[in-house]
Amino acid sequence: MIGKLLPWLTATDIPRPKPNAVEVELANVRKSYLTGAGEFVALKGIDLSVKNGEFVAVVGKSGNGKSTLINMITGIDRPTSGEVWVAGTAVHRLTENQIAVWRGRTVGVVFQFFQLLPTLTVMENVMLPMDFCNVYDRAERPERAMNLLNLVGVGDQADKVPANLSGGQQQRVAIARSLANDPPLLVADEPTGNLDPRTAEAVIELFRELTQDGKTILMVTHDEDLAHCAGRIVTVSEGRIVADGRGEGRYE
Amino acid sequence: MNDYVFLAPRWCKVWSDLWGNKVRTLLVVLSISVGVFAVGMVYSSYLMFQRDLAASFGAASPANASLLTDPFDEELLESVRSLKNVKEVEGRRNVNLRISTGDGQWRQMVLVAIPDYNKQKVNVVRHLSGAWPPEEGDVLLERSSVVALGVKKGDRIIVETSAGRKRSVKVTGVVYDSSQTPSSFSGNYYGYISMNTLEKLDESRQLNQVNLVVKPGVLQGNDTTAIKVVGRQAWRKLEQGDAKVSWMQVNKPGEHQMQGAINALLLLLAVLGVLALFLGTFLLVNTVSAILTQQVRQVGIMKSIGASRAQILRMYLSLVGAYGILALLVAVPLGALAAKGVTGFISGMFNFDSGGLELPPSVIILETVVAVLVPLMAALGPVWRGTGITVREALNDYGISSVQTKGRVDRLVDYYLGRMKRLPRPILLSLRNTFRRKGRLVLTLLTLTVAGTVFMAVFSVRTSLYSTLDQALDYFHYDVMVEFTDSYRANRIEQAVLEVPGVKAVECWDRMSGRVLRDEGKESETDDSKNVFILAPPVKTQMIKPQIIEGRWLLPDDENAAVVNTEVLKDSPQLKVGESAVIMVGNRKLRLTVVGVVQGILAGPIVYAPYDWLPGAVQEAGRARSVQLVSDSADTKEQSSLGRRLEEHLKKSSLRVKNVTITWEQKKLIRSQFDIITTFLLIMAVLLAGVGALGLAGTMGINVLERTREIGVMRAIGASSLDIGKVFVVEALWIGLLSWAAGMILAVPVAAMLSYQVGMLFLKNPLTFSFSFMGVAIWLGLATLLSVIASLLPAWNATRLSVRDVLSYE
Repeated sequence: MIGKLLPWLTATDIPRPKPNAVEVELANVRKSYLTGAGEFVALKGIDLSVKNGEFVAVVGKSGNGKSTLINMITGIDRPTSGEVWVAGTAVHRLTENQIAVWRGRTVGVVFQFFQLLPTLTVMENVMLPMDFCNVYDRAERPERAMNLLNLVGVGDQADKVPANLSGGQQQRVAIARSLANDPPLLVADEPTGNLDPRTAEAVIELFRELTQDGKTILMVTHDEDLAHCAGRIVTVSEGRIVADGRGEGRYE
Repeated sequence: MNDYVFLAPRWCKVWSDLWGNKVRTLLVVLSISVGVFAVGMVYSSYLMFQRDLAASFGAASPANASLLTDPFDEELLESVRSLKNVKEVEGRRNVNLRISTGDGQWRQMVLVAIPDYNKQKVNVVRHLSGAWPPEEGDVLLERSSVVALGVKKGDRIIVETSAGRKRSVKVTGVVYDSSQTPSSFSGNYYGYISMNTLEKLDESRQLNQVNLVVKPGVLQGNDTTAIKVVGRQAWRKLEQGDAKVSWMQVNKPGEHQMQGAINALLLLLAVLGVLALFLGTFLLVNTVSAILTQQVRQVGIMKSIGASRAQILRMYLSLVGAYGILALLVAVPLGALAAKGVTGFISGMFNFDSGGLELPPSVIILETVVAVLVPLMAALGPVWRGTGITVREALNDYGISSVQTKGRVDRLVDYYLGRMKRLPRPILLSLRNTFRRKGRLVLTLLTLTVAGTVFMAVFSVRTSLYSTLDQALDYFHYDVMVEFTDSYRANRIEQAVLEVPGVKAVECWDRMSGRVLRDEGKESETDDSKNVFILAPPVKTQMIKPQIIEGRWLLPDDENAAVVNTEVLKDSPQLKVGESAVIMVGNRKLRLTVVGVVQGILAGPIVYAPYDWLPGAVQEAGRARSVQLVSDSADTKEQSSLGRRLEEHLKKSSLRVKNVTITWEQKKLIRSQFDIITTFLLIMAVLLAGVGALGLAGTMGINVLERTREIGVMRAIGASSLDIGKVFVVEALWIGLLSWAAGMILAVPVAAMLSYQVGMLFLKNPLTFSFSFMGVAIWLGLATLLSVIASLLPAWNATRLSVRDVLSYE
């Protein structure tokens, strides 16, 4: 009995990703919801492949399925049908609990509204994923967190709580947190949607630097200009990928 | 950096949830504490009672049986001692005499003479201070009588002897007699004298009480059968030696005579304690659910960065565990102190020594289980549900929100609120808000309703106790009763009484004690003969208001007719209307015909016989042993003064008074005994009310947090602080009123049930049920007040929120 429970408790069966071995593969992914007005199909058979080290921008109008698409990749949502493979893992087959642990180690998620825990300090927020996933030694974690905060330029804010930081600073902390367990894949949903243009550019610059370090980045945005900073632009409309081309890679 | 190594961030979060919201933590800790406190107090009190009763009572070597007899010589005791199964036997002399202290008031005192104070073996009287043993002319007072009489060492007490002479004895010490009920509780006073002093008080050096202890081998647990057998053997021995036995008291081995009453009190406290625990647990479930609802987003964030459900589950359960440990820290010392108070109070009331505070491991274990395990188990459900949410649901930034439809309750509320067109919009908002979170509303209402129900029911128990007492005392329509040591001619008594100003009406009665025999052939005590009081009032008495249950009251032509009360039938169920009863009075057998049955309440077993017949049947025709009178003043002070003047006058008229009973004083004394029960119940009811208020405050606090954005919007469109505060106060008031109404409906059956149980536990009789509307009114006031108080802090917090605060709120 205990033997059966152990994997659930510790999720030891989750494979650790190999460095730079990430490959996102979506095969005929379909997602529909039942609403008061009947069935709403958000994704209508998406096929997408992302290679290691790519900086991909997902663009499209509101309500056309961009967020649903990346939620499939992060495991935040599940496909109604089709397959989602990330770093060799069949995400669509994992349980909710396995997904949480897998995500913590494999995917760094950055939200539009930062989503930092309000009662923890900036430093503690960044250390939290390491704590949950037990990736680094306990003694190593504070130093790593501080390095990440320095990397995103908010090292001097480490002991403050999120409410005392500006929006741009909070988003930088959120990015530092997403990198806490050194995941190969970073997924950002409208990361600049809540920021002024100058801060937004700084965030994109940070992403660019991260891809140079080997990270794969998927970013949802409705800002066409920012999208062109990415190396590849995937356009989603009415639940389908209607365009998939190279971006200007303005910062590259 | 070292700080971060010391405490992992997830535990920092648990800590900040605990410490960051101190008011919420305080509310939850207090609500758990109340239950833990109540359970700990009751269990601790129970253990302390067991310890103290055993120590105090056991040290006194209590008698298994006591027999009251006519006076006999000490040598007769040897015949009882020679009985096969008797381990110890001792004799004493009890005399009931009138005494007067410095205040000039005459009171009844039981003076106990013990042949050798230094060789006591049964019902041992313990020396506390002053002289020991009492010298000739000295009296040692039972410790409870010292305070009640208001005397001190060196004071003199005037004793009126049975020969009518006045003798002075000196108070030289204080003793403790665990076999006596304390003076403040029983209204009796106890003094201890030597056999020489007994002679000085015109009494013979004889004994009239036998206390015996049976051999331990004969006893089987706390069964009294063996004691009764030995007691009856002693009874026969005494009667063979010409000592007529009038009463035999059999005690359960090793059990204090008040054990039953103490257990009943503890049982009531235990029931209310468990109730408080349940309410505290409801409140905890409510709060934990609210914390998780409020932190849904945080749960989602943690899951999105890699937290498993088990990890989040552990975090929130740790938080609950921490609440429990804090509650334990609060409740353990308070529970122990309260238990000490309860034990001290009850030990003082029932006259045993309290051994002081003790906190046995079993109490701590129980409190720990109640404080930590119960909340953890209660919180498991809400925490499991709360942590089961998916990241998508938690962050809810999907763009497609679930369709919310209104249920039947919402539609009903909307319908009725829609009809209240005159109500201001903010009030309507408050009323609608009340039904927004139905699960929370149900738990809050449940907590407050249970508290209110118990509160109102306790008031009804109190009213029922009082009305039972009123009914019992209303039975006898006289203000003062004087009992005489001997019988006197009735017209002499009447004449003397009427000489005292202030007497409106007077009746002379005869009174005596006897035993109802089941088998006429047996004269000595058997299981089949039961003690009764025989009262003989004039058949047309104006001073008894009998409630006839069967048959009729006494008529002028009746001779050997008898009316028995229901208490007599409990002991002697064979007595039926129309059939005869044989009663032993002294050495005489009286044959009476039962003509009626009347209700007996708190009066003991009474047989009524016609005054024109009974004295003649015992060779005392035209004589009486008591006089009952009605005062011409309704003023209680005047009635007490009349009693004192009457006693003085009767003594001057050479009528020897045994006892003077003022009806209202008697009523007050019994009321004070009843008040002990109701005080205990009320304390627990107030505790429950406290839990209810905490629950409401918690709910309102959560509501304010949940509606932070709503408050901001209201602020933005021009709502003043008063408007915002009012929304929450009115909502709390509305919940308070709903709970009051629900509690009132439930209180009727609960009060009836509780009254019945209290009556059976303490009086061995159901109480005369009377519902207390005063309790309903008090709870209405209290529920309103608690609602306002409980909502003030949350409402104030709401008014402090600015639009800017609200916009930055997560």
